[in-house]
Amino acid sequence: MTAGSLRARLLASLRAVRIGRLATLLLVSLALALAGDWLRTERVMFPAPLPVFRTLPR
Amino acid sequence: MSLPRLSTLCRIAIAVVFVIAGAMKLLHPAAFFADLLSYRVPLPEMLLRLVTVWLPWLEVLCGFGLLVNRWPETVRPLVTALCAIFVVMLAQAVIRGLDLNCGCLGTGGAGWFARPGIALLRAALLGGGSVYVMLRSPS
Repeated sequence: MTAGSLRARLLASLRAVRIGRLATLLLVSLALALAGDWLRTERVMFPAPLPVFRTLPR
Repeated sequence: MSLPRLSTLCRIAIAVVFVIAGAMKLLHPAAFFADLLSYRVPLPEMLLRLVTVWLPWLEVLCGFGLLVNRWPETVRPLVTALCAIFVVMLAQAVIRGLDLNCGCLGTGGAGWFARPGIALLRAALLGGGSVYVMLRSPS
């Protein structure tokens, strides 16, 4: 395979990408990532949940 | 070994690596974030935090996509692009002589296996395999 044909095949592969499917993959993974981070205690993206303060009964 | 068979073998091997790497990162996101910070790339911290939570899921989805051969015309170039990003990140770490854990396998990879030079070699092999799989017709 020559460098020219390799480049042509690479470009053809890139042109074959379906934007809708790519967007679906990216958005689904982003949604899973954000939901996963929100639901775990060891958060990276969102700030950690505030501690719950309770008033002691008299 | 015939070429379609080799392509299938490559595809499955890359898929397994992606699923395992993504799952390992998902287990300890804070450790992965610390690994990302040690690359000392001039990017905003918020972006690195987003990458920390996003990349593992993207790897897992791409891995499953490769494994079941779903949406090959989209998943294969995406995997190749991810490998190219890994190679660039690791190459800059090697060139700058940074002493870090690559973070490729979350906290699972440590010691010599996680050194930037070895990780760069792994990423280059993975990238080469993914280009080969991408250029083959879906099998």
